[in-house]
Amino acid sequence: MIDFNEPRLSESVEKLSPEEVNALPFGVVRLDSAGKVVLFSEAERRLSGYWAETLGRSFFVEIAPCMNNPTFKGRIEAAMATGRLNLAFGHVGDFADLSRTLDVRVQSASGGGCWIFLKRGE
Amino acid sequence: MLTNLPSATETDIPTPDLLPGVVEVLPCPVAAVDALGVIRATNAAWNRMLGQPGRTLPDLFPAVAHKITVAGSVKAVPLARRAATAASWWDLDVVTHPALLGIVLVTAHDVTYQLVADKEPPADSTPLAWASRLRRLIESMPASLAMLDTDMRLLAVSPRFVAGHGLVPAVPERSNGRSLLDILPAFGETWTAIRRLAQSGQADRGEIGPYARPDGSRESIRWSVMPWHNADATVGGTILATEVTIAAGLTDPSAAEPLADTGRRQDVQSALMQSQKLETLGQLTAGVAHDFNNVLAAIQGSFEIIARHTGEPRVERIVALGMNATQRAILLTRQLLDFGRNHSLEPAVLDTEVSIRQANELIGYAVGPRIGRSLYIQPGVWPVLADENQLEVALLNLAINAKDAMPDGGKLVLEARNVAPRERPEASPFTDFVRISVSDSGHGMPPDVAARAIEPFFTTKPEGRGTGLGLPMVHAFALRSGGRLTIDSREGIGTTVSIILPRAAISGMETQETQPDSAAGVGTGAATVLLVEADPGIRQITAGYLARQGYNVVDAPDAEAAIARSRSIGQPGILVTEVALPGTNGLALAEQLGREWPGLPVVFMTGLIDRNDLAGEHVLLKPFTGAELALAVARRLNRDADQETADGGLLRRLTNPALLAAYLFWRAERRGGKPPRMIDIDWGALPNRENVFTAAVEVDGDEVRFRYMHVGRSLVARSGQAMGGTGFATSATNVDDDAVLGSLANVYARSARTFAPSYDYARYDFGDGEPVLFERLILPMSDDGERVTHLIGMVLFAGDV
Repeated sequence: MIDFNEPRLSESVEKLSPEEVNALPFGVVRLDSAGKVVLFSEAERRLSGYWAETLGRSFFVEIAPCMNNPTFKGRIEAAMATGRLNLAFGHVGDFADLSRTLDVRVQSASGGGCWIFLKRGE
Repeated sequence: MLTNLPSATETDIPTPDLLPGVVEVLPCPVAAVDALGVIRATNAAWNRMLGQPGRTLPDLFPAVAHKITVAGSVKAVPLARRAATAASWWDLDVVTHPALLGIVLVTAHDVTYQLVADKEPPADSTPLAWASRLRRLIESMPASLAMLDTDMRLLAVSPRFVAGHGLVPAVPERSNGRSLLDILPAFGETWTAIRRLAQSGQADRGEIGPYARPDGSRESIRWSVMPWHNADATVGGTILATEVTIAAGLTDPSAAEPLADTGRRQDVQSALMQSQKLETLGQLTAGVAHDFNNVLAAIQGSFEIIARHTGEPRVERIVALGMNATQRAILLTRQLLDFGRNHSLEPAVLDTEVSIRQANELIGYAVGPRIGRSLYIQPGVWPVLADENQLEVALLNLAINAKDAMPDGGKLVLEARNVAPRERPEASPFTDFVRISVSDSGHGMPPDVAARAIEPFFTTKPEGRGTGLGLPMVHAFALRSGGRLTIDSREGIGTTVSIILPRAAISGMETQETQPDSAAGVGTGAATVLLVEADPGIRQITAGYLARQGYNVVDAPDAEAAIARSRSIGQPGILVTEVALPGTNGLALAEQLGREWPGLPVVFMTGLIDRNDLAGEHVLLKPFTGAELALAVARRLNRDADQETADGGLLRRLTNPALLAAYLFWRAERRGGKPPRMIDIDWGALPNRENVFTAAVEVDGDEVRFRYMHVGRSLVARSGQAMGGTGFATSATNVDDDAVLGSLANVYARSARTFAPSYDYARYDFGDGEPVLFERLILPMSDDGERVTHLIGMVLFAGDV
């Protein structure tokens, strides 16, 4: 049973068949090293257009202006290049609507590019 | 004299009188009304009090339906207003006419003033609100005063007025609403003159009489009138002061001895004017202080920009001074705003030390640098039950009096001590009290002056320097709070004024009277906390903290009492207990209660660091702060809370204690589910201020703009760029909630739109060292209660950045 929070999530997911990926309780997107979307699970199908457009450098540095410094950006790029990227981010929003909770994990994929995993709701 | 309006149909058949003769002389307004609502006849009282032209009853009372054919009564009906008259409400009683079919007799009773008396005066400045406040003042004055509207009707009377003029009934409230012409007919034509003065807003004085009384003595009445104004500066009416002078059987009235002190009249009138001015000032102050706060925040931001652009230590020092001063100014305006607000008495369990220290700050500003100050708070001083703001105001008053007694400088001491059993007041030999004193090294008072010091308007200060209202107000506060005031003064040495307040006692025996902060109740659903702690002081303070968080607190001093109380209240939400209990321990108690209420969450309190048997339990280590207590209880409660519970999600996810503290801090300041206002926040108590930023939110059509007002030191250092005063804008409608990769603007806009806090985090692990964890909590604020006007954000970093 794959747990969204397990440390080596990308490795575990890489071992699954496409059907198994679609059956996961969280969304999955795969980018190649050029930032192009090459796979998305059923849950992410409706956002596929979004994924195709928004990626790139801005993805990582837009989170907060206080992080927008050259050293930090450099480290992100270095991590991407060496396949050691491991990010997690998300938000917990409104009271009334718990589905506004979102957790995202990004990990380097073997062979270049990265995996993006998305869990919505509690 | 009957006033018969033309009837709808002329007829020659003689009819019984529309208004029976006796009705004519009744002092209350009566009208005969037919089935169509047409007013067919009215008595003199009706003409006088309701004398507006109106063919039908609904013309006068629009809220009344046309057809009134059945007996009954209609309460609190507003009278149609002519220009420049005050609003009034009437109870109408309807009875069928004794002799005529189809006619009813309508009696009207003026209930305007009762309505005002029953409710809290409205916060705005309607004529009613003003009238109501002045009314209360009049009723408590030790002089013969009547407050009248422009139609010479009584709005308020002081007891001496009632007694002095033999008004019947003797209860002042019952006289209200009646016209002075009815009540004191002896004044005759003088009333016409006074009425003219009242309506034109002039002041004057005069004398009526002397005239003979039945017992041969001669009576004169000195009168004076002074206009009072509504908040909109229109004349509301007049205040009539009278002094009755009775000369026993003398023919020369000038030899009569006045019954009342004539000097008082002047004091009374000027004091009235003063309090009207204070009223207006209070409201002005609130408005100015609010704007001032925003300006101060901008100044703060500018200082920060300067600090960043200089490398010179000298300049940095100066900037630090400037920022410090700005912080103090912000605190001061906040206190001013509190002062200007009209609070009804809200007693709370006060941590005496905290309250006195807060008051001490204000006192510092009030007395100035030439007065040396010391503060002594007895260790272990008991908490008191009192209204916090009024206590502060009372101490401020005493401090100002002290300062006035030391025109050439001196020393002021502020103290708080427990009253020892043998020093208890005679009237309360079994109650504990706390004595809070203000002492000065001023000129002191001789015994006869000291005795009169609490009399209203008694002052030895020269003209213009004090109305003599301060000490009586402090005295009234002490009495209202269940305590007393004492004055110990020695000429040439100094004066000590002590406010003696009862010790706050929440014991297991009396009915629980916690006042939950209505705001903080949201989310926790006012769960019941069963608090068990043997030490009474700690128990009371802990109960106070929990009550302020909105919980319903039931406390007990030992295990037996705890079990008994838990049965009487039904299911407790959570048990908070000290481990050490008389005769047993908290663990055993938890186990026993757990059998009765399975799944009861528990938080243990203990002073001992190493308790192996508590491993795995939730333990609060003493001494703990209110915030730590709130955290522990909220956490423990939420772990078992329903998924549906609002903001359960946030509580579960905020693992960082600083963020959780900030979130609880914000939540406690909410008012009725609405976000708190910027001025409600005690910036001094906000945790991790260097990681906090504030931004103003402005909505302009489709665009929402965020402008940073203040950015904490740590954040400034990190960003490496000027942030204060800068901002950004985003489209208000284009907030794509599905946008996973939420840009900053979206995060802000989400909170601004939904009134809800939001929490973002990001953890970056580059495989080259410690991962970086970034967390941001955005808390919406609303200054107008309608939309989000500001955001407070706390941003925390961990790891190697």
